[in-house]
Amino acid sequence: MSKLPSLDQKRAAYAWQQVQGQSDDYTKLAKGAPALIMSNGLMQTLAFYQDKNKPHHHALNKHIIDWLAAYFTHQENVSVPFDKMMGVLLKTDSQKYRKATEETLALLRWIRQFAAINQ
Amino acid sequence: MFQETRIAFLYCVSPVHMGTGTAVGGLIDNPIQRERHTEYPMMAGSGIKGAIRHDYWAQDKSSKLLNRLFGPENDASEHAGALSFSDGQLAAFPVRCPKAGYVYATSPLLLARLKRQLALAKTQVDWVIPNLESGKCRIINPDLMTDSKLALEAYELEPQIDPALKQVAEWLAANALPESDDFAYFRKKLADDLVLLSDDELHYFVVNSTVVEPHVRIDDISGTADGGALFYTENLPPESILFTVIMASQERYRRGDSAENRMDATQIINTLVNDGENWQALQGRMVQFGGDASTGRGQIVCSIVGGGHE
Repeated sequence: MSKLPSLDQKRAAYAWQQVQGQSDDYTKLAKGAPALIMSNGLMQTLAFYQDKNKPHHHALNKHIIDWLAAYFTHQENVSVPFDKMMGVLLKTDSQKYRKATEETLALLRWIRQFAAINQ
Repeated sequence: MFQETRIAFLYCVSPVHMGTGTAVGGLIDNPIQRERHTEYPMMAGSGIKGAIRHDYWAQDKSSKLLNRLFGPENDASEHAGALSFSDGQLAAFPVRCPKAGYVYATSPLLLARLKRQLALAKTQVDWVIPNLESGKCRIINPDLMTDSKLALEAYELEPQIDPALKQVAEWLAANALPESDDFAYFRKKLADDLVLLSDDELHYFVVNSTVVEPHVRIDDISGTADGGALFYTENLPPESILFTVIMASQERYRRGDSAENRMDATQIINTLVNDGENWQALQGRMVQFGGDASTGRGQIVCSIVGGGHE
């Protein structure tokens, strides 16, 4: 076994960091996020959160988008604006879009769990 | 030792919630049962047995046959039941397809497992499972394509029309669904709109395209959602097709009791599958499986295949 942390541990560490200080609204939003993505798709969900224009929607959106950017560029602490990520997702092939959806859901497992602890 | 085997296809006509009861750190608060090694949806054999036993009990509450078939209700140590039910495995899973509403998705692994179980139940099938490269898929019906691609949910796949798949689809249509006219539409749809995906692509859909329902409690005073009581429940979608193996042995009885008039395995299986004095045949019958029955969940139609002696 590798001595490096697994990808899932990295997701957990990132999620734990992001949920600190988030509001009750954020926790509720995170709880429902997987269901929203499973029913409507990743891009639709990100667009919906962006359109809502409230702090907790923007916070969760940013957490997802930055994680995806870090995951796909193999870098840490990446910050990518919403428009840029949507541009990438709109043009990407089916396989990569599927990967992005799976990765988002894997991250949300941790975010929705950890956010609840902080309440 | 089981002497008789049948395959029972389970066709979901409403969302089905066979729950796990435990979920820590998942995506959904109330997930369905899944296989540990594949993450494919499954149904525990104990749950299937319980559902079928309940169905027979509901039809004839006074029947002494229940304990003879399924085992004693309370004193389980007295004797074993004569019937055994395997865990339900997936045969096909519905996936949204803009050109056809939905398609029935399957994969080489699902078909290979089905074929293996059919052989164990003495039912030889002559269909071959097509080979499949990752990223490609096989279809029967050219009308499913848009600009030579197959769109499933938000994803595009490269389809290839494969006559070998037609054999599989026609066999499934003839065997996995009831023979009655009310299922004619679905038999035809299954025969036309079966799509073979690679195992990894099928995995994606069976994990991420189930029916997820938010549930809230309504506050009696305000008539609005009680915010603290929100949870998410997962269901197998309607039009999912699973199968279970039903095995029968000769009738068991309590040590010391008379061995007279005991049923052999063939009588046991026939008693279960065929109609009797007080119950209807399992063939084509709708049975309720899993939780949330009173909100229409768990309606499954059974179709029985196979036969033959050891």
